[in-house]
Amino acid sequence: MPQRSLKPYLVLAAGAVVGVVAGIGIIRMNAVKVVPHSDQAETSPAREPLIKFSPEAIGTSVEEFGRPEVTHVQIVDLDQDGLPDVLYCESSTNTVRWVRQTSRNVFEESIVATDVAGPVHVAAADVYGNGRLDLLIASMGQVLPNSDSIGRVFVFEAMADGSFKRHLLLDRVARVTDVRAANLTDHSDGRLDLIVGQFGYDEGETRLLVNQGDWKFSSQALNGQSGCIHTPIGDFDGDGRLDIAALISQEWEEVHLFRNLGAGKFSDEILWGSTNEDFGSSGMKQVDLNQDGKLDLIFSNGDGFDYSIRGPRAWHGIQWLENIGEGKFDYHRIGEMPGAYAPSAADLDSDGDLDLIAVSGFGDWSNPDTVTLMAWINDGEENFEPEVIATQPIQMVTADAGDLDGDGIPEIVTGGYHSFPPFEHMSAITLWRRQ
Amino acid sequence: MASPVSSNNISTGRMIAAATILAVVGGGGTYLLLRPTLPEQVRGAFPALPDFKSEPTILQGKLQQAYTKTATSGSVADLAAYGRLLHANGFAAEASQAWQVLLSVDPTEPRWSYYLAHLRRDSGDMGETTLWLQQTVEINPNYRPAWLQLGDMALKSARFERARNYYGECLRLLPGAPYARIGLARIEQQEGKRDSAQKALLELVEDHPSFPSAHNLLAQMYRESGDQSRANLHRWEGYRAGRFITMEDPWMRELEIQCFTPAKLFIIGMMDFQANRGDRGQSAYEKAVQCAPKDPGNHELLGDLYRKLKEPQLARRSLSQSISLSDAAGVAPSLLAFIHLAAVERELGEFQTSREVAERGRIAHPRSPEILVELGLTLTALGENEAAGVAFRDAIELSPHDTAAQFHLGEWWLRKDQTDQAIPHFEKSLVLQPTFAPALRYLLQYTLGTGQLDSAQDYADTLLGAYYGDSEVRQLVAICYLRLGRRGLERNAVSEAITHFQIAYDLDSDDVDIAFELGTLQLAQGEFKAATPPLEVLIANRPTDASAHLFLAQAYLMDGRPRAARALLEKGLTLAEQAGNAGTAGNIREMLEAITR
Repeated sequence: MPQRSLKPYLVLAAGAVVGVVAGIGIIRMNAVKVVPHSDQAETSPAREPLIKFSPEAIGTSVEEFGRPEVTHVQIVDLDQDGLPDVLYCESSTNTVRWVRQTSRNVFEESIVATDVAGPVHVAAADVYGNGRLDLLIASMGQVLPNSDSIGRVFVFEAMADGSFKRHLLLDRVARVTDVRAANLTDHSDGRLDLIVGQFGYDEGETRLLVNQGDWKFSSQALNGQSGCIHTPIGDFDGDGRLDIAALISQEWEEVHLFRNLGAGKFSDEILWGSTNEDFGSSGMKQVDLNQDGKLDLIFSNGDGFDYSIRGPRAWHGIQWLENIGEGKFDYHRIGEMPGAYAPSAADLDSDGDLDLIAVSGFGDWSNPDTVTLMAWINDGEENFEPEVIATQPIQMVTADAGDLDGDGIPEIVTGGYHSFPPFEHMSAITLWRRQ
Repeated sequence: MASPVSSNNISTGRMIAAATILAVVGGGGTYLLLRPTLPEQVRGAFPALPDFKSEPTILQGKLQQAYTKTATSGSVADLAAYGRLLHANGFAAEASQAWQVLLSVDPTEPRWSYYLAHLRRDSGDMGETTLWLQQTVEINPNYRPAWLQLGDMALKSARFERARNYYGECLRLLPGAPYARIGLARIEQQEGKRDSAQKALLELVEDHPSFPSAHNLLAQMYRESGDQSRANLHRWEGYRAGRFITMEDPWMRELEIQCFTPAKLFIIGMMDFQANRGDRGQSAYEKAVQCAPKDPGNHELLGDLYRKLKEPQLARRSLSQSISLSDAAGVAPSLLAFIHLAAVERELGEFQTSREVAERGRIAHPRSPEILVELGLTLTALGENEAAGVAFRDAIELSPHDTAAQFHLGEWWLRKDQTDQAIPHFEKSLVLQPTFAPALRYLLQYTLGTGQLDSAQDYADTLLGAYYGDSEVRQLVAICYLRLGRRGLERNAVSEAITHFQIAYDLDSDDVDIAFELGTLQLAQGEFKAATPPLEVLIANRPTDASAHLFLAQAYLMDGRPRAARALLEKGLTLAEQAGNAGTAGNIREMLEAITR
């Protein structure tokens, strides 16, 4: 009996198997795929907080203010005694105040500017190179929405005797939200020019005031869009000249870069913009977040001043415009935070990289778990993990971080703005120390 | 005889062919046998129910129902309905999953990628948003809002040529579309082509006079070029046109219909209201209340909207309901509910009820200056002036810069004829609200009445800047500048006088006194062309005034128009003679003779 070979059957069986496998493969290939989404809800088990901060009220108390309206805080060593102080604007009294650190952790407050209608930003700068820090104050006229030309720019000149002399540099202009100083036109005598952000309402501007000496300034509009909130200054394109960035809100919701072309000339470029007209841009700072030697921008969106229905929006949060060189930037969303304001960077966990913080001005205050102070902890690769610092006090629109007590660990300073109900869990100036 | 090798080759070839056929048949069969049906595909990947415990009951029910329906049927239509619910009510991650599944099983529908674009836009990811929008227009090149958003995004990333193309597509679909045109104007502006940008905007506001963004941008450009008058005009027109609104977007409206989250409905409603679409705003608010009828805060917001819509009866009902619900829940009713209800009762003439509401509010919120102001106003309406004064003072004690408290205490002093006491309160009322119109108007009238013209000018300028298009404000400010002009004349400061009269005339060109002062002064300065318009106004308003005829005739004559001048002089002579005004008649005769010579 001839021996029959199994080979043909094996070949045929293999063919059938291949066919079945291929069929299943096609089915799998065609199966519905869902791309992982950054909004995907993530549930993580409860864990120990990465950092903790404890609050301490400094400066004028809530009771004295009634309803504090702190619009801006800044950590700065105003008297240059080696002890950082806190400067802040308070709009219910139209004052700018100095919480001076007289000795380590001992604070005394004094009013340094009065009758400044709607003060919303104070910066300290030596405008004439005389070794004293003058105060540059942005006066909105009225903090709540208003389209009228009621803005002013004040400089309170630091005098040798420690007093401040008032100069009104711009009057009856679209509401001013930012003034800061820098040598933008190549002065050689220590003079500084001023950059003025004018939010206005329907009309606004970003303006350069060139210092002509003796507190005289020539004025030049860099951009005529309304809604300018902040104008950080830095060499963003790495050409050795100081440029200006501007966060422009209202219906625009854009970040602009005004490149310094030299000889007092600036170009105007849009770096980034949202087509969500309700995006709610609320604050921007410059910082080299990834410490690569190039100055980045961090900005928040959480504004709710313009709505009768004030409160959080799903898209509120903070973001990072990473400077990739020559004035080009990549956008990164850092995280969500309803009502986010005042992004700041500091090494909160002392691991050598920069973390981020923001406060909330317009959260869902009927929910006691609403976060009012949030940190995003950097893993060293610019991946940020959110960390709740506090849920009270509520309604904060300004914050700064810096090492006030000289221990190498940054403190956080926040300000409460209480112009809308609920008038509870209020604060004026709060100093947050790491535990 | 065939070689064994050859025979073997044939046999192997057959086997391979047979195996291939088997593989194809087996594969096909397996595919046909095991492939998931469309419902299975949907059921296998559609999003789970989100955590909805804190959502309104109606939304919980709808989500549960939509989920179950999709899980059962696995149909595209049911998943789409579930996706709309998720998206419209803020469950972004689950909505995103739903749209992605739908995109896989139903790739011809452009909405899925459009909604994904919307979700990515909300989180600020403009790159991914652009990709989804591009996919949308690939599927449906006729959806204008997608093209517009692509244009806006290209503009905001300084890709101007690309933006032009996208706006062009938008205009192809709807010639004259204002949103695309303003985008194109912005590109021109960004590229430094100011003239063409301005021309485009002027054409745009002519075609769409209620488009606020175009007015605002024009105002910005006029201000930059130093033309403050036109800037003010367009700023006012922009203000009147209402809040900036986005292009109508039917696909997003489809989502909004599925919104049952009160917080979101209130935002949608407020944006509609601010954009002068009050009916849609009201519907959204009412729906919000229906979604969570036991929430006192929702009734309070609806009551506030009714007030704004001038519906006091409805406002009363909602605000009363808000307070009742809080009472029933054992919590203090909100401050705003008391404030609004006290005001509404007063508007309805129910002063005693208003007082009771305000008193209750005062007890519930003892640190509130606002409720004391309401109480003061109601006490004023009840004729209890002294008690009203105490309420206003108490409010100021609590909040020294409270605009309303300061203003109403000022008014209170005025009622007692104590103007000197009233003025400081009006001035203080402007500290936190520098353009508070009632105080500005009063202070302007007061300073004009007392001859403090420099202070009056400050108030007038502030008032005009804030209420440029308000005819009463313009008239009031014009009177101020008329007075300033006359003061200039008294001081022999002619140039200053002309400037002030001109401002007054620009504000109120129908005012005879202003026209007279400006026209005659310019005539006296030899500015006959400039004098002509105000003198024509003068004669139009004083047709029987012989002097007016004489003045205008002089202007015409100097302008080389002797025939028109003669006609006026002849008429003026008749009028002067009829009025027995020998002096004017004599002057006119002299001029007539001069013309004849």
